[in-house]
Amino acid sequence: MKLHSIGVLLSAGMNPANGRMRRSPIDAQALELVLMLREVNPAVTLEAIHIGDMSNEPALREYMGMGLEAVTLLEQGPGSDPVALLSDYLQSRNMDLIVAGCAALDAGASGVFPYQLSQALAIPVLPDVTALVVTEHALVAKQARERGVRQNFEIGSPAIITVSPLAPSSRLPAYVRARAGTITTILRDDHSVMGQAVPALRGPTLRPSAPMRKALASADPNATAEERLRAVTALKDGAGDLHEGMQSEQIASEILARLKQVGLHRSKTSDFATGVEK
Amino acid sequence: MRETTARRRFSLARLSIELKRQRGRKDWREALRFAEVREERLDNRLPSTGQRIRKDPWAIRRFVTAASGRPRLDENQGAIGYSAFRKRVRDSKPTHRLQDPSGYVIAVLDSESGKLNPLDRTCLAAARQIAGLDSGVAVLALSEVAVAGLEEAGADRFSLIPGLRSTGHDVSVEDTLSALVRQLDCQSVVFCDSTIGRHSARTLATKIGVVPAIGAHELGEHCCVARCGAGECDAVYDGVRVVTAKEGFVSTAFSFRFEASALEIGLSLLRADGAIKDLGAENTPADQIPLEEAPFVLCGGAGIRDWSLFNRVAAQLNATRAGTRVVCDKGFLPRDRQVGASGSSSTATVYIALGLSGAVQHLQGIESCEEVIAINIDSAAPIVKRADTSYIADADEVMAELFRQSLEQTQ
Repeated sequence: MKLHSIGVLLSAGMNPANGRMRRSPIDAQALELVLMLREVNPAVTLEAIHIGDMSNEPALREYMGMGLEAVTLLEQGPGSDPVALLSDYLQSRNMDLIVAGCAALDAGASGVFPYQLSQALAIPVLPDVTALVVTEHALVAKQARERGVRQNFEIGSPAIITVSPLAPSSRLPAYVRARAGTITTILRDDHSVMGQAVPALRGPTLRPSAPMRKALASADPNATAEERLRAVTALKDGAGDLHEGMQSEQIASEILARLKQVGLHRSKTSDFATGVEK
Repeated sequence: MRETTARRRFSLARLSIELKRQRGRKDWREALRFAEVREERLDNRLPSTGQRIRKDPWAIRRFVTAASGRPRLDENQGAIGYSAFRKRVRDSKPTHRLQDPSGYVIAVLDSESGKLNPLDRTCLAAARQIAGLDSGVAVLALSEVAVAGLEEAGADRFSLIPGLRSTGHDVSVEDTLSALVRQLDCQSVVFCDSTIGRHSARTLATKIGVVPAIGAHELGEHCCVARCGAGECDAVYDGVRVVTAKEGFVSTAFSFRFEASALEIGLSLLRADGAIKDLGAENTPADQIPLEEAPFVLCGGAGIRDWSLFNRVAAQLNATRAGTRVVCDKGFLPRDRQVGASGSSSTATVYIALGLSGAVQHLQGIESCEEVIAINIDSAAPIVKRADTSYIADADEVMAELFRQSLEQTQ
């Protein structure tokens, strides 16, 4: 399949250790996926987009150190809607695939920005992707699910992809490449975009994190401490089945029958899929 | 009423005994606290009157079966003492009935088979916590197939929507859900914290026009709290519209049973254009699945002699290999395969423990396993107390048979 251009959405986050802006690890993994794709298919053009201003330059230099030649910076004016800004720009660029991280590092991290973008552009989203393969006829993405299940999807163009933290880890930035990269600033001067700005969704209020409290195991809220301890530490203590004196063949056949019942053992006819309970 | 009177009388009876026993203690409250600790020993008093159960010395002695299965002499001769009475009262849960719900909280379940998995239970428990028990709001569980165990899990109503968890993008589940939200006028929709659930939550939230709370660990009727990406901030959401609850932070056990009665919804799934096609799940070898989330684990202990046979059996059964600390110390398995207190915790659906004794530290690693099958030569091993099914046999012989029979069945 002919992939003309891929857009990567990059964001910056604050490093809690030293208070400096740094590249977002999940966006770096998204960029890594696309860079790996470009190494295999040299015909693919890549454009990296960041919405913000030049104060995030250290973070953008870290991205460029991974092997990115240029970053497009969309200057966001005060009160402008980032979704409208980006969708406006992407429609003019006519991209086949847009790759983003699954959630932002700061500010709410609900992961809803790619979905707002997909609604504005009317293109589908595929979340939690760990691998991208371009075959002759299609673009195949592998989605990471629970219990180690990996689901393959064939994606038409254009589409938005969100990258999962289980994707291959990103390469470290190189200083020379970081210095050599260029940042192209696109200033949105036409006030038409800002005038039509849809008020952004009211997000959550942020506060410093408090320790998370785990749920209690016992049902009764009036249980004494002794009862709660017993509920958590009690073993089966005779409630399980004990089989003595059985032959190994019989034991093995019983275990295989139980596995088949749960759906974890394949038989001659059925197709095997990891982790799916039938 | 009767229970309150009995309890009061019993408390007075207990108090009088304790005060007699502890003449030195000045504080009657302290005496009562001691009485509470010793409550279990006061099994020989009737719950109604608090009087000691009178035993007929000429009655035929009866035997009851204790929890361990062994017959025990019934000291009370059929009468139920106070602690057994209170245990029976505690264990029988009242049913929470809701005649005319004033609103709905929708819980969208993920299960493909007919059982509830832990993510589904968390989703229902979160919906229950948002709805509360006194406000007249019902929890409506939506699933693709009929699911067992909804009464204990907290659902007031349930409804089947075939194709709800469709993995392809040719049906628009979120359009159906937003239509349902408008029709039932429901305040919150709770999804499972899985890949599909989070995707549906974000899509639905974007359609409705709210920001979803993904991975919320504190839930209430009007606000919820989730952790931000870098772990430094908490995001407090005003109003709970679309939520995903984090597993382990919502209590899934209730002191009520619920009526999971069917609710008729006249909605069908809306067709959307399939730009993304589902090609199906990949056949990954189970050995590569991370140990914490592997569904089928084969764990070997110090009682195994033939390790090459163990590896072959794991490959044949497509199970994830694991080992105890002793096995990893000796080098038979790498350290990242260790299960136990200093290793990984397993959340497997089926966990087969071969030739391991079940030391306390290892049992800490298999607390959350759904089913444990133990094969051990020693019937007094602690793993037998933990396991759901135990076979007393040699692990190597059973492994050889498992390999042979599995090969026969799959060829």
